[in-house]
Order: sequence, then structure tokens, then C-alpha cells
Amino acid sequence: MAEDPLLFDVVVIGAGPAGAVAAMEVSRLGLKVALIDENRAAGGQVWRAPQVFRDATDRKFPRPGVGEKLRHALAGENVTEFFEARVWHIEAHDDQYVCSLTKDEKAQTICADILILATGAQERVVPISGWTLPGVMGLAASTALMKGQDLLPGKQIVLAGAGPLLFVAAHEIISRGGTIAAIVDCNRPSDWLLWAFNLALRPDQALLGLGWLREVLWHGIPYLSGCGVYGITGNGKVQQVRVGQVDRQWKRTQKRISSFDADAVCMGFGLTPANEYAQHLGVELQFDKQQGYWRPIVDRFGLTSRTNLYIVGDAAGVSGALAAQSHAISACERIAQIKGLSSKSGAARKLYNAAEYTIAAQLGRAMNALTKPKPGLFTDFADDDIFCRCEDVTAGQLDAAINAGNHTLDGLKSVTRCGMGPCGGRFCSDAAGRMLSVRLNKPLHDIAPASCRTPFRPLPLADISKDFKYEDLPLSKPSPL
Amino acid sequence: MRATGQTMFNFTFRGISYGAFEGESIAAALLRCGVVELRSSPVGGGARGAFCWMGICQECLVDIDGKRLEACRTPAREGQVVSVVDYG
Repeated sequence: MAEDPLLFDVVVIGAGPAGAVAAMEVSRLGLKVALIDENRAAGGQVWRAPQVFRDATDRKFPRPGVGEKLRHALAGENVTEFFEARVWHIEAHDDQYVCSLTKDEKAQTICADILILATGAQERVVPISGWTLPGVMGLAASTALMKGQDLLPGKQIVLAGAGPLLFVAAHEIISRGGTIAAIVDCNRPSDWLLWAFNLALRPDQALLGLGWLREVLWHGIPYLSGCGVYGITGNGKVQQVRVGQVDRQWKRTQKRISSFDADAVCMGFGLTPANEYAQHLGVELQFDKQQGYWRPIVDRFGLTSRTNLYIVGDAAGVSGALAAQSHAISACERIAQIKGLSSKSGAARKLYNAAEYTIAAQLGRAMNALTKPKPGLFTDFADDDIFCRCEDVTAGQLDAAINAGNHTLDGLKSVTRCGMGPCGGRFCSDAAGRMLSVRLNKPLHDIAPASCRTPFRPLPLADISKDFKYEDLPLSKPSPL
Repeated sequence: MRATGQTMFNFTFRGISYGAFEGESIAAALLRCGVVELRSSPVGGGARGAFCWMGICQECLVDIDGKRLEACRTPAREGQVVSVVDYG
């Protein structure tokens, strides 16, 4: 059983760039705010707080960066923080949002009039033969490992997938003295040129990107553009990675095939909004064709169709950390307007700048659009390739279920258990939707996302149940047969 | 919240002792020691290890005192006995 519910004016879920800024802004309005995050400190994935400083004397870490500044600023505000806490259920009840969370193996309930979801993004991966082998991880995962634990993913690393995260990860590896066996990028240079226009709007970001590219070339790292991973093999862990050319739809051409020895593969196809809380609360989702994902419908202040429910930052559509902060500020200005409040810190506060937000969001979106998985990735599966990691559902089982007439994600889930495991479908559902789209020749926006179930994360039952004796449980008499 | 320095201590996984830095997660400490296989898939039995490194995928579950915990999020502690999850 939970302890007595804690009452707040505003509860913010997620302490990344959007959530931390939102919490600070509403606290400056004089509102009582709770900030909840799974991690040990604020910063989200992008500005993840380092937990380990190895060789601190002869390395540049910890570099005082934007993340440190954010955490410092947050510490100076009147925000009640719940770190290492997990929200496993939310419901709207009597004009209040009731969040059930677990922290330190105990249950806690937090109620607030206003809910701000700043749950950020999650990594989009596409199943590939051998992707369950230890040593394979997501691209964003590898950056989390390096930023949080100051540790390389392996000794010989293959980076694969699409989009800017390939170069972000490469930079993190190179700066730690690691070895990259190859960068395997489904995009071709011409694809990257498509967003050069957007980059021109932000010369600082353009220079940063060019710096990463120069770094890769300078270190003589094999950069295979227009190529994809064909398969990963090894005995109990990653040992070899087979790569080859892909066509414009990212289907294998069986040309330019080569093999790399590696002990780690970091692969990913960009980010998608983490929208399970929004979906559960009944916020309407729409399919974003440019980005290739479902996202909640919000106005420019992050306000949803539900009263007092805001979604800010990447959770409302992946736009990057810069845009996320502006978005959070605009949401708080809206809250201030509705409540007739003004910020205590007045002029010191950075006002929402619509132009700055537009440019930052456009750049973030253009970069993420490069990562949208293309149909060719779903045409070369072998029947025994594992598609759903949790339940070991194979591509062949999915195909059989589709052929048997299961043409929805919920249908596939109930027939094959694809997406029913402990990850909650976060690592197969997007791909399963694409598989359906390709097999049925239907556009992706006609494939509804799988329904969302709580608990949002697996949790030990003991954490939410009080100590009890079995004999004290009230049991009704069995009904007569 | 923040761990610093190079203080090292030992914990065990599958009965073998490994060193960990203060603040290091169990999965990170094991990876640094070359151990990437953390459990077997309860369905197909294949080797599994940390995949998302942010507490979502549940691939790095380990058993500590009968509790299933994410090795990528759980800090290693001195003398901790970490076992492979037994799915029975």
C-alpha cells in the first residue's frame, strides 16, 4: 500500500532539458512542483550526469557542460525532486492527476492539478540477425554508457544505422581513445545534403557536425555510406559483423559485402517520442510522416486535448534539447497566463523566443528525419531471426501470423506475444508496425500503435504491497458449484 | 548522487569476484572486466546482455538477494552477491 498521497500544484515527469526547465519555471511562478525521474540526477539522456569519474586527474572529465549548469540551476530552485523514482501508473481522477510511483522499494502517490509530461524520446531499433547477442546495443545506449559510466562499449566497435547519432557516438568513442572498426550508414552523402539547408540556419551546430565528420576521417575510420548490417554472429557474444550495400530503400543488394571483427555493435535508427503515458491518458496521437512515428497532438504551448495536461520537449515530437527547453518555457508561460501569475525572477528569466524555437525544432526534426527506417530493412529476414527480444518471437512467426490474417499490432501481439514482454514493446513494436506496413502494402499511418498497458515498467509486487499475513487477507467464500 | 574518484571494491557475479569503481553500475563493471553475458533468454535460452543501457529493455536483469534488478541501473556495492536470474 502507498503512503499518504503528496499534493502538488504541478507534477513534471522527466528531468531532461524540457522537464527540468519546466519544473524550474513553474516553481518561479510560486507553484508547488514535484519533479520525477528514473535517473539519479537531472539531465535526461542527452545531458546524462556522469556517475563515474575514472582517471579524473589526467582526463578532461568531468567537463563542466550544459548538463552541470542545468543541475546546478535546479538545485537552487524550490522543486521537490523524486530521483530514481519510477511512475508505473497514472490516472486522471476528480480534476487531478494521480501518479503512482515507486522509489527506494516503496510506493508513493503524487497528486497534482497540472501534469507536465517531459518523458523525452526512446531509441528506435530495427531487428537484425544476431541482434540479441551480448555486445549489441543501441546507439543512444552507447552514448548513455559512455556519458554515465565513462566506459567504452567494446574494444572493436561497429556503429550502424542512420542519422547523426552515428557521429555523436563516434565522437564519444574517439574522445575516450576507443577503436571504431567501421561506421555503417544506410544514408548516402546525397541524403545528408538534404538537411544541409537546415544546418545553415544554425552555423554553430553545422560546425559541430563538420567537426565530428572531420574527426572520423582524420582517424582513418572506415565509413561505409549506403551500407547496412547484414548480420551479427558470435559464440555467446558479438564476434563478427557482416555488412554490405543497401539500395535507396535500404534493401540489401548483396554487393560490397565485407566482414569486420568486433566485440560491440551499436545500432539505431534515431529516436521516437516516449508517449506511453500520453497514450494511456487518452491523448490523441497523430502519425508524423516526416519523422515516421506517432506523436501526441499538442498545441505550440504543449497543451493537449486533456485539461491541464501538457507534453513538452521530445515527448511531443523529437526536436532536440535546444527546442525542448524553449518548448518547456512556452508551456510555463501558458500556465502562468491561465493562472494569472507572473514569474518571481522577472527579467532574469529567459523568455520564450518563437523564432529560436522554430529554428531549433526544425533542425532537430530534419536531423531525426534522416533516421526513419525504410521498407527495404524489412524484406530480408530469415524465418528464425529473432524479432521480439523479450519473447523470442521470430520474423517467421510474425509472417505466419500476418498471413493468417492478423493485420493489427494488437492482433499480432495477442497471437505471437510480440511486444508483450517486459520491455513493453519498446524495442519491437515500431519495427512490427513497419513489417505489417510492408507485408500488407499499407501506409504506416494506417497501422495503429499497439495499446498501452500499465505498469509502464516492470516492478516487484512487494514494492507496492504492504507487509501482510496471508490469513489476514479477506477472502470471500467460494461459490457453490 | 555523484560518485567520484577511483575507490575500488569487489563484488561477485556467478561466484567470481570482480572489481568495481564507486558509482559504477553492475553491468558497466562487468563489461569493463570483459563479461557481457548476464542471463539467458527465458524463452529460447540464448545469451543476453545489456542492450538499452537506460533501464528500459530489461535484458540486463540480474538476481540480487532474490530480487530481479536492472544491472545497467543498479550501482555495484561492496560484497554484493549477484547471480543469474533463474527462470525455473
